[in-house]
Amino acid sequence: MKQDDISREIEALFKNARPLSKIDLEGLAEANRALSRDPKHIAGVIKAVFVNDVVSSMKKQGISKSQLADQMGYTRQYLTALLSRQDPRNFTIDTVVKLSMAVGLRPECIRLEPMEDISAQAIIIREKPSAETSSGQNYTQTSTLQSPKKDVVEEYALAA
Amino acid sequence: MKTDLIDIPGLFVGANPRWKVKAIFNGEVSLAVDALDRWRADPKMKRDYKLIVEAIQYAANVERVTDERIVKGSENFDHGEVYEFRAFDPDTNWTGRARLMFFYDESDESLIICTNSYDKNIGNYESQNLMFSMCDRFRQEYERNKRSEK
Repeated sequence: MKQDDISREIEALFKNARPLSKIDLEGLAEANRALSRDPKHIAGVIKAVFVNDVVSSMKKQGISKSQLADQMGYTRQYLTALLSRQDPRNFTIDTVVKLSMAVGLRPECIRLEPMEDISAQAIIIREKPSAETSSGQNYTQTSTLQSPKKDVVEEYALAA
Repeated sequence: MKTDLIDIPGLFVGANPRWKVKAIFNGEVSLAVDALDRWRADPKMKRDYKLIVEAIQYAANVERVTDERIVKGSENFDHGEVYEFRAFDPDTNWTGRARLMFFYDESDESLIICTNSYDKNIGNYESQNLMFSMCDRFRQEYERNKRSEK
């Protein structure tokens, strides 16, 4: 398609769309904030980010699904189902930690923020720094759970 | 073409995301914000809206999305690096119709910039290609405007 045609199509799109002043921006903002307070929604984001980090690490290191499945004692089918998030019940904290470490990642912590920040935090998985692990320090570093947030933590952990 | 950037109202992608998320705004209209509000308000598109927001929040927290069911790049060699968010639910393998186009700005601020959208119908490759072309046009204009501002 020619550039002029694309410009015309864009102009048409702008013409047919509502100006910002005619949009219920507060309604949209509230709907977006509501999603960030929805445990199922947040769990979806967390799982997506987690799987993304695992798959990226597998690619980077040239680890195949079969190799990883063997290493973890899973069948390839089970691992595929896990990585494609077909069964939400598979995502236990134990599985998350085990899978992370199997691909050379260190589950650093579950980041927790006050709800007023409408936080959509993911489990932060970072590459395991070789110096740290070789010096015998702990792989897993968990966040300090402050008492007022504990119920929120557990809810998210269960949902994840 | 004006390519200002605005925030998407109420969208929170995390306290320390890899990418911040913005939408193109021509001074009057933001196609991305208009689409999100339209999907949100349409009972038939509500699920699509939620999944698109989930996809945005996911993409904002990773270097590049590996799941092509959720983010797909254009395969047209005429296009630069442009992508679409897809309304896809991995838990049920359900694919909706909502698509939101975007590109990355890696230069200084690390941004995901949402541009235009469409509602996919079955087999309309032409629409997808056209929407990628438009997104790529926004990308080029945005980069040109940025260069001229410097």
